[in-house]
Formats: sequence, C-alpha cells, structure tokens
Amino acid sequence: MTVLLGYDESPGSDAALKAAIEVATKWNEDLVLVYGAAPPGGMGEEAHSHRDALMEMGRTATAHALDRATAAGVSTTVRLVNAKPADALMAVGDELDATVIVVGTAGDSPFRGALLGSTPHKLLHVANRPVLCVPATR
Amino acid sequence: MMTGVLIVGSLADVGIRFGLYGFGELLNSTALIEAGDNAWIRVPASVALVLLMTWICVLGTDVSARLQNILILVQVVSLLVFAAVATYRALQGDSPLDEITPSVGWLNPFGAGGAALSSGLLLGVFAYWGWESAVNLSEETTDGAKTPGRAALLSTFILLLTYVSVAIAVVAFAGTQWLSDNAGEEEFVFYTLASEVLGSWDWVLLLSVSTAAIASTQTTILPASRTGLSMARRGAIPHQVGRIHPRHRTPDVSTWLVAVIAIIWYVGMFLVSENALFDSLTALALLIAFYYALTGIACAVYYRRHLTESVRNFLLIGVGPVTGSLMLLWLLGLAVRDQSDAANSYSGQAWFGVGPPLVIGVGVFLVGVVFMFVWRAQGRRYWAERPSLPDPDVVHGLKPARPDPDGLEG
Repeated sequence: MTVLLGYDESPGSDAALKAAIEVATKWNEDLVLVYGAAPPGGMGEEAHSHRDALMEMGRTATAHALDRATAAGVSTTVRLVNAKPADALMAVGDELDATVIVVGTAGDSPFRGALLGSTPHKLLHVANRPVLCVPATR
Repeated sequence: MMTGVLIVGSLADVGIRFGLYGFGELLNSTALIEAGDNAWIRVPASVALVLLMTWICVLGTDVSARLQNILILVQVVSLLVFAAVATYRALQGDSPLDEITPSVGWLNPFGAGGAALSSGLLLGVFAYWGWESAVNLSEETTDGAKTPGRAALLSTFILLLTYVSVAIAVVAFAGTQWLSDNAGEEEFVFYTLASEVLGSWDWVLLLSVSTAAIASTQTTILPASRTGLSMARRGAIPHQVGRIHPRHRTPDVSTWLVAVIAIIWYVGMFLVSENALFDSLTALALLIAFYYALTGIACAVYYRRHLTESVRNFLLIGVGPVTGSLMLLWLLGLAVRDQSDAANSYSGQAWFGVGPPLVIGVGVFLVGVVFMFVWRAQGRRYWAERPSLPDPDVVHGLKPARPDPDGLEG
C-alpha cells in the first residue's frame, strides 16, 4: 500500500513531508511524491512553456524531498503529473489505490482558500480516500 | 502577443467609462455619467483596474469559465438586440435622427475608393486580432486536430455577423451626416445611440460593453505575460522575466512587467493627448499586420520540407499563407502611405512631418530592434539556436502534436 504526498517545497509541504515519512515508516508503506505541474488557469497561449517551467520546478523540489525520504529509509518514488495539484493527487491515488493522501496547509483562511483554490481545501471536499492535512508549524 | 501591451490601458479606460455610463443610466445618476467623461476620475480608475486585473492574473485563480461564457453570451446578444432594434426602427422611419434605408451597395468593398479600402482592411486586421486565439490553443483543446479549426471558423462567422449587423444598424439609424458630424467623439456616439435606440434599457448594452472591456483587459495581460515567460525561457529576453511565483505558480515578474509597460504607455499617451491614444491603436494595426505577415511566411518556411509532398500541402501550407502574407504586406505598404499624411490620423497633427500612428508604429519597432541588438551583444544563447524542423510524423498525422507521457490527460 502507498502513502501519497503532494510536495512543492512550500513551508507547508515541508511539515507534510515529515508527517508522511513518519506514517510510511510506522505502517511500513511506500511513499510516492506527487507534483502536479499543470499551469493555473489551464488554457492559454504558450501554456506548454509555462508547464515546462513548472515541471522543472517540480523536478527540483521533489528531488530534494526524495533524498530526505530515502535517507529516512522509506522506499520512495516521484510522479510528475500534467494536472493541477489536487487532480494529480486524486488520479495517482486512484491508480495506486493509496491508503492516504498527505498535504501541507499554508494556514490560509477558509475564505482565501475557497477563493484562490487551495489544494487541501479542494481535496478535503472531493477526494474519495482519507486526506491528512499537516499545518506548516508543528 | 506583446503588441497587446499597448492596448491594455485603453481597454481598461473603455471598461471604466462604460461601467460609469451604465450604472449612471441604471441608477438615473447624472453624477456617474459625468464621472465617465472626467479624465481625472477615469484615468486613475483605469490604472487601478489594470493593477487589479494583473493581481488576479498573478494569483492565478481560475476565473470561472462558466461566468465568462455567460458574460460573452450576454454581450453578443445585447449587441445583436441593439442592431435589430436599430435596424427595425430605421426601416419604420422611427429614428429621432436622420435615418437612411440600408442598401446592399454598402457591402461593396470597392465602393469608396482606395484609401478608404486600405484603412478599412487595416481596421479589419485589427478587428480580427485576437479571434485567431482558437488556433493558438490547438495544443490545449480536447480533440486538438479538429476543434481549433472549427472554433476559428465559427468565431470568424460570429465576428462578421456582429460587426456587419451593428455597422449597418448604426449607419441606418443615425444616418451618415450625424455620424460624420460627431466622428471625433466615438464613445459619445455609442452612448447616445444606445440611449436613443434602447431607451431605458440602454444600461444593458453599456454594461455589456464595460464587462467585455474589463474581461479583455485581463485576457490581454495574461497571454502577454506568458509570451514574456516563453521568451525568457528561450533566452530571447532576460531570464529574470521567466521567474515563477512559488506559491501561485504564475510568472509574476513577467505579468507585473506587462502591467507596468501598459500603464506607462497608457498614461504617457494620455498626457500627450487623448487622440494620441487612438493613434496608438492605429499604430497597433500596423504592427499586427506586420506580424501576421511574418507568421504566414514563417509557416511556409517551417514546413518547407513538406510543401512538395502533395498538391494539398503545397496549396494549404505554401501558397495560402504566403499569399496572405503578401496581401498583408501590400496592405501595410498602403497604410504606411496613407498614414504618412497626417490628415488621415485622429489627432490630425503631424509628428516629424508624418501621421502620429506611423511614428508610433516605427518607434515601437525601432525600440524592439535596438533591444534585440543590445541583447544579442549580451548573450548569444537565443541566437545560437538553430532553426528546427517539425516532426514529420506529426505533420503526417501519424502521432499527436503533444505526446501524453503520463496517460492522465483525457
């Protein structure tokens, strides 16, 4: 079974990485790092250039996390997905039948989250499996 | 689409002006209508609107596509209702102005002589500008092979229908005399006509114009900022412009840069004179004609290996685009000739002995060339890039333009 982690190197996802490593170690599960690289807003001219830039950012971010998780002794793989973060997590979650999706929260107000489309906010409402939200400061 | 930068301020201006007119009519407040005519209120409000729209672009929030669709429907329908009511009232002889009966001869492109035809065609290029977006999105649409082409045809048809019907309706309702008497005051003309034709319902049309202009402000900033990102990544402009905001995941530097240039341009032109702003739009038409012409030639050059494969290829990706380019270049030549006479511009003044649009167009062009040479002296990465060729399998339709590496795309 698998623990999914949405990772993008934000302060929230750093705390989420720690929690995900703990969970994966405790229940002896694999860890899969997911980075959704679809540009916000989706359509637009030159969107592929934007997506390529996000893919690069995702590759760098997940490489750091991969090192840390592997060092902690967790069997870890990385998935860069061409979808928005929440959709990416749900799609990979379905594909691997993940036990839990772990995401970091940035501590935004619910209103801001609803307005700007925060990933934890979206996941909590539409995900079809357990979601673990980890606050930035623990 | 960097040319769009020059128009952002004017769009915001129209959005604010018609927003004030619309609410003024709706609430029966003359103060709001007068505020729409007051540059001291309108210019700062437009600048604030550009900043707000830029901020929304940087936040990268998915502006509800459904809301946009509804707004576009309302806008097109209210324009068509306006055209229908105006035409009907003109035919009934019910217009308070000096109405004339529409005739088929109005649609004859050669009816008014050479100079009118060339500026009309240039206006056509300007009007069409942006409507080709459907084609630019071919990598993003579902069923990328057919949808963009159909969308382009459909949008061109809708464009033609609204432009022609509104133009006929306006001329029929108001008569040529009244229109040429008031030709210096475009916004005033449209506002007056809206009130005369639709009576107490004019606010619907005025607010549609306002929402259309405000939405266009945003949809002009967005692609321009993405062009900046793309150019920065290819090394054609400084790489700092290609920065992506880690949280919002949007190219924030590029977006703010677009806004800053747009605001400087808008305020600067406005300080020269309000007519200079209109002249800058004519200048824009020159630039658009130029890059459309380049696009046509680039198409034939990029696909050069495939031109001789079949008659169909030769006609559709060789002869067609190049003919289009030559027509646009011819048009550009005509327009440059016409605009070198200052009397043909909005402001009617001469800058350096020629019309302001020509000066602005050539000026923008020269700034670009200078920047290009300075940048070339700085770093050679972009210039060292060799021209690439298209993947033959994609051209032959054997595989899709964008592979789907993760299989997650619908």
